Amino acid sequence: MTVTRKIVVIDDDEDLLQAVCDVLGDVGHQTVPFSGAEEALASLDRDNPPDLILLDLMMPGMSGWDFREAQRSQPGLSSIPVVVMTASRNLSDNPIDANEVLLKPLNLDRLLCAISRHGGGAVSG
Amino acid sequence: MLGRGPGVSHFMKRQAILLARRGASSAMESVICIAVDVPTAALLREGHPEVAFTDESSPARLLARLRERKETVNVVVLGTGVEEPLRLSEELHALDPIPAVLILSEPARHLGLLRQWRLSPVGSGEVRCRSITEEEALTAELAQAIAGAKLRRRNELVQRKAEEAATRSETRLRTLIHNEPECVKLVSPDGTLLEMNAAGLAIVEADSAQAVVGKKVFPLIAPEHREAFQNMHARVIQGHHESLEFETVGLRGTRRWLETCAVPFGDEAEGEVVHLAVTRDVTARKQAEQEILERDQRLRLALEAAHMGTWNWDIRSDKITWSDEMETLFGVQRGELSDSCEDYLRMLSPEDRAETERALTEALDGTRPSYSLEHRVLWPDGSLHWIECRGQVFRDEQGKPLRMAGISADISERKRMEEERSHLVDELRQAVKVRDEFLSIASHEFRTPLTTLTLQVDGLIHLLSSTSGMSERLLSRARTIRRQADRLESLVSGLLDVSRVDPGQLQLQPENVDLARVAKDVVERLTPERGSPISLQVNGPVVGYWDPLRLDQVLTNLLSNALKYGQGKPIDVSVQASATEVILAVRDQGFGIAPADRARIFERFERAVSERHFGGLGLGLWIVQQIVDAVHGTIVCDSRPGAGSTFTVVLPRSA
Repeated sequence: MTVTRKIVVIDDDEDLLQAVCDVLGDVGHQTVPFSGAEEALASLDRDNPPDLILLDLMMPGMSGWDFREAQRSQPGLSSIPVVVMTASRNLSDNPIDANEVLLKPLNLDRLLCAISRHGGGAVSG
Repeated sequence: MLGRGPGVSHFMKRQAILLARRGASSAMESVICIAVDVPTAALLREGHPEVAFTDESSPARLLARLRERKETVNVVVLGTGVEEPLRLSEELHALDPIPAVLILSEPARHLGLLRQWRLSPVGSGEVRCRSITEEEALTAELAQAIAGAKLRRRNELVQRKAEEAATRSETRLRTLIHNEPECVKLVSPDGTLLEMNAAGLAIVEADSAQAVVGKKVFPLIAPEHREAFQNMHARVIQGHHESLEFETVGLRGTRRWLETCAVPFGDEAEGEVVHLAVTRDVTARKQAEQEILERDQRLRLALEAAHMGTWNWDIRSDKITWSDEMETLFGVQRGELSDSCEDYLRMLSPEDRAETERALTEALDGTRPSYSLEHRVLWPDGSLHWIECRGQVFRDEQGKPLRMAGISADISERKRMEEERSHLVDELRQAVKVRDEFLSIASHEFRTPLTTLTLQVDGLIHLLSSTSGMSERLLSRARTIRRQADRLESLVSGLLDVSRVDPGQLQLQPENVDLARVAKDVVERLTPERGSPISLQVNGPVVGYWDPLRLDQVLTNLLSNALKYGQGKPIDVSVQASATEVILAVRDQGFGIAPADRARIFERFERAVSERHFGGLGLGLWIVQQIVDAVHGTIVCDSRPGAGSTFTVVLPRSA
């Protein structure tokens, strides 16, 4: 059993988006998928913020870096933890300010560990 | 009774006396009288006060006295009382010779004797036959006789001395010629060898003069030189002075190079001109010349083959001497290369002139140790050619430059190849860059679907595990898919590493990291459910300043290999630390690696075993080597075929 968390998932790859939401849903999390960062940013509700944002970096339109910058600049949203999922290995050139960076490909264990580390609340049995 | 007045007789007498005095210029004349009657003797003494007269009583005493040779006697006067005056005069002549004068008081009574005397071969006696009454005439005649005798005697002495001198001279000349170290020979106009000294006989290998003298000289000349020798011989006989170098073939077949100086010798008017020659053996010199010539030819060939030339710049006269090859290097015709340095600079490509001039100046004033330069030459046909020059300055005792000598080589072909190579390297770099970019993009693109695949399979496994009643077979298949996804991920990572780990491109992000922790993670991650058990020996944290991801990669690759080739036998991982370095060892007990393969396995795309039996890209150890090199560590492999391998990595604690 895990604590149910509200997780916003942002990735332009529809299948990956679906997979992440599927596996997180299987373990009891509530996921809100977005295939674009702009749309996700607009929908974030500062009165009912998610526990965690899973963010892809390289996306058409607003990139993960742009999203993170905009999110951090908005009061009420800036405190939402962000875990980045990326296939890029050159983050030293374009560093991202995130709670954790998960390198793709990633497996379920690593994903769940990261969520439990940054998602807030206690993990129950 | 004696007429003493002027007259012919008196004149003759005076002349005779003068003549006698002249002949006795150095000492008093000495005349011995024998059997001369008293009046005649008195008459003689009176007429010749400059002459010392002595008397001798008998021919025997006279001869004995003269044989003692204690005195010089000019004339002996034989008086009328001498018996056999002819015999006595002959004995006198044989003795010294001393001329004798015979006085006959009555010549008419001694006609026979007179005739014999005159016919005597000794010729010593102009017999003065006078009556003692003709005193005046007698005196004059005696004086003449004395004078004539003395003159004859002197002539005889001169002639004898000349003959002796000639004999001595000839002896000396013969000795000289015989001992002369050069060959001296005489050749007759028809080519017959007339004479040859010992040195010459040695040269033509003749044991004695008889072997060659009297025979034709031409067969001793090497056939190819014979015509030249005969022509020279003919010119010498015509009166010319000649010299010639030719080869001789000795009687025993030895060839020698000779240098001869020949002159005509003898009396041309009498048609007795022969060929006199002094000849020396110059074989050694010729061989040395030949060697120098051959060496020169070899050098020339080498220079030609290497497209090189030599030059010598006389600084004082500002003249450059070029070897023939230099004309080829400058693309000009034979003899067209100027000897001036200024003209040389004008032949260079304009952009290289200043640098060349500076190099020459600095080499001369010693600010650069030698002259070494590459410059372009503008050929008359407008084409550019690269020339490499190397020269050295030679100085006098004060350090003032005397000359600069050096070599030049056409390096156009080398330059062309260098440019081509540089171009190819650029192309290759570009190709590698394109490849790396492709690999980077490709591996990046692989990762997203791999993540989807992994997550979905993980989700399936999770669902299957937590749902009761689901088939174990289904779960097993899902796990197989999961393993294959892991394998795909590993291959994709390896591909990306090929580009990222290339020397100079490996980027490290070091931080303080605990190797013990990394080792535990890797061992935990890789320990298979079935197969080789892995044991880890490590005491406490081992902290160093390393890139944690790369450290993980090193151990992951080593352990993956151990699992792959370990034949399921136990694997030991150990971490040992000192103050300055750590030692990481991975030991398996599998196939092992043959000595010949140990160096090769660290190369890219290499493996110790056939790819038919084991997959993979052959990159694992190469990546490990690159990472270890980048942190200034070392890796060694200790292995015995059949007994397993131990890979030991030594890392400094701060890279």
